[in-house]
Amino acid sequence: MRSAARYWIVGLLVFAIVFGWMAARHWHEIQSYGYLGLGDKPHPMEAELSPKLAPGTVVRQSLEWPRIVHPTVAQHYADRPVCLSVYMATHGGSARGGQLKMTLEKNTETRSASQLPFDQLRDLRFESFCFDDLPLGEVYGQPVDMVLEATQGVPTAAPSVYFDRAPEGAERVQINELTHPSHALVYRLQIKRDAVQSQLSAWFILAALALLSALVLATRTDD
Amino acid sequence: MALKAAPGRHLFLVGLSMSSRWASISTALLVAILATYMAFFVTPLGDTPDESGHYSYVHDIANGSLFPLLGEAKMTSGRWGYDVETWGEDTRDNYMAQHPPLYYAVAAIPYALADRLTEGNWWKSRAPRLVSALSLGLLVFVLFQNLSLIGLDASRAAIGSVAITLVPNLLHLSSGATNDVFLLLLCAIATLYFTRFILLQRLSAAYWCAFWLTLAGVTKMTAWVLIAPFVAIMVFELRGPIKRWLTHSVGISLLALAGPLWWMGRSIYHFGSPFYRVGSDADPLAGLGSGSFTDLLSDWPVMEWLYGHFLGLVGFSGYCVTPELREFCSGIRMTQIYGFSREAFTWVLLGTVAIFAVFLLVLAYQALRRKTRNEPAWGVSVQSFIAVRLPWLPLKWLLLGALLVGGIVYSVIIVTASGIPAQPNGRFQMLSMAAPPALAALALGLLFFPQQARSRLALYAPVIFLLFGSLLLYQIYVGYLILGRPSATQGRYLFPILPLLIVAFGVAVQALKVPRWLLAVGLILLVLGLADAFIDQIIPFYIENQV
Repeated sequence: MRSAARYWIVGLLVFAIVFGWMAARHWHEIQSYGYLGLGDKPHPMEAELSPKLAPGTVVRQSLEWPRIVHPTVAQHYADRPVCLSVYMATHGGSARGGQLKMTLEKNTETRSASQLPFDQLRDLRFESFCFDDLPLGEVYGQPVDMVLEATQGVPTAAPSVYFDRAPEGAERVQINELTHPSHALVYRLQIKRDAVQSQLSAWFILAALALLSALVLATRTDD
Repeated sequence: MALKAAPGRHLFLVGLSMSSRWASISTALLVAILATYMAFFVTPLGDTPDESGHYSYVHDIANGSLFPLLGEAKMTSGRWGYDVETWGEDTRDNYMAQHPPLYYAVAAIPYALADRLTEGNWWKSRAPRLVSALSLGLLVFVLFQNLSLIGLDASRAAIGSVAITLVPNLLHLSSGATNDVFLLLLCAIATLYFTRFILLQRLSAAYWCAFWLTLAGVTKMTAWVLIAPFVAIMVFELRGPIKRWLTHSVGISLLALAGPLWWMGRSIYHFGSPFYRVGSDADPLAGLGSGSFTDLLSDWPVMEWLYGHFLGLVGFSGYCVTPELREFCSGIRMTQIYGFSREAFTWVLLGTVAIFAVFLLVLAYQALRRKTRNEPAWGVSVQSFIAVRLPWLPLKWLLLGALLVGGIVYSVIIVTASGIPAQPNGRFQMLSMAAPPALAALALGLLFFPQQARSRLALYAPVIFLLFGSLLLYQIYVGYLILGRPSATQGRYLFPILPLLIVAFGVAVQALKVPRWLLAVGLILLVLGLADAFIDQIIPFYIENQV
């Protein structure tokens, strides 16, 4: 009887700890399954950090549509909401207490805006800014700028974004209206779509692995 | 480190305690459920290696073409329910017809059932995957029995049997139509009987081993590399008067070789070569590659690829699902596993190699102190004759020394020619990959000394692994000479030897009394690594790549 109780207690403990650990570690990634990247994922080769994005610092990058995604692919996803993800640096998780806002501007006129709290940003990860009211078909091919600036926060606890050497002839990033001589923002275009099945699968896998750990580690030594 | 007499006279569930029965059944069932879920809901159709060809082979058998012939067999048009009018006829040859047919014949059963009992293509498209998924669950069950047979307690046997399924590549393959996981199961069953024969000298176990080996031999030709040493060792270990020895040596050999011989005969009949495969008739000396084997290791990251592809080579052609975007569907798309998963695997593998190395050193020390003994046996085998009756101790030590020097040179060549992979803990990855020649040489040398049956079982494993690995490297080199780049750098080609390696590690764990907490740490690292691989890399890869 005591042996059975021990089995269940150990099993439940192992399940709870392993599942809790994995859930905390992967929750953010599972939530991001709803974003589908279009075109190739950038792999920075000559990376450079932007200044810290505290209020007053503005980073602006023109979207060069054919470079980002092929027109046929864009056409296929024309009715899906647009997202843009940028490669973040939170300086070891020190970015706290502010808001980072991305605005899409056409001829200085705001088309849409999206913002993320500093606290949600992860170091060395692509973070997605989504524009739910803006389908890809409405902006694809238009002269649109992506503008990044903080609406709250202090310089000592602000994030940065990564730049990489721009391809020949490509637009460079602007920092406070000064054009960078060689680099562009590291970003990628995404669309938002339903990912319930993938998210369900992810949670199923985590639960199964936690249960497997519990079954194995609760197994007692034979007499 | 006195090894207790093997307690196991049991086979499968007979003779196991309640906790062992529950552990083996529950873990096997859960692994099978997980793999089945992956097969049905996670892995896109076509996204395990060569799945289009494997599926087409199954389709052909289910539709009456029992032995599709390489060169004539075609990829199935409209497979997985794709509209032929939209996608067009697939006129490509099915190169998977180079494989023997057993897996495909078995997978044709669920395929045919789904075809007859269900509407549409959903079940029919996924039914062949069931064989791989269920094979993985059964593999856990069989490995548990084998680890119990060598005397591991239930908790350690549970860890040992589940650990291998936590390698991302294995779970990935078990969710697809492929002959690799089914082959691994057959080899695990053969290894179970091989263990039983070595430990208990049951003649029937040797014949059962030969039977399962012959089935493995008509599943995939890589199993032939296992059949040769297994049969040789069983003959080496077989006891008795010369007439009995001769009779059963021939009987076991014939049974084990029956399947491969049939397939070789068929290949000779159709293609003029017993080992015929796609491209095997090319002349390596007239190919695009040149240079020595060490040049190959220096110029290409062969060892790094082998390591990465063993851990996980994910994807294939499942990304291409939208007819309107067909212009983007060229070639295949695959990815390796990086990050925490790779690091966790590296630490676990390094720990495994280290424990086994310590075990060999302890055996060497015991041999030096003349503490090792063959277990009492009623008859003489070639093994016992060499180990016990031949008194040439200095010669044996000389031989062991020479083997060890040769093994170390082999290991050093691999390290110096390959360099250190540019990965986190790359030197540990290389250390794990380069260690087998030295360990196998030491193990082979120790086999000339008296050893208990369980120790011999553990000593055979690295020797066979070295044979397997060397042949794989040779094939990669031949591919390089023909194509000008290395081919066949597939970790899954090593699957047939994995069960014996796991059993050998189990013997080391038992002998060294490795604490359970240490094994538990390894298991948790693998669990977290697998979660990382699927959640952060594999599922996003599927999502990102489907066009």
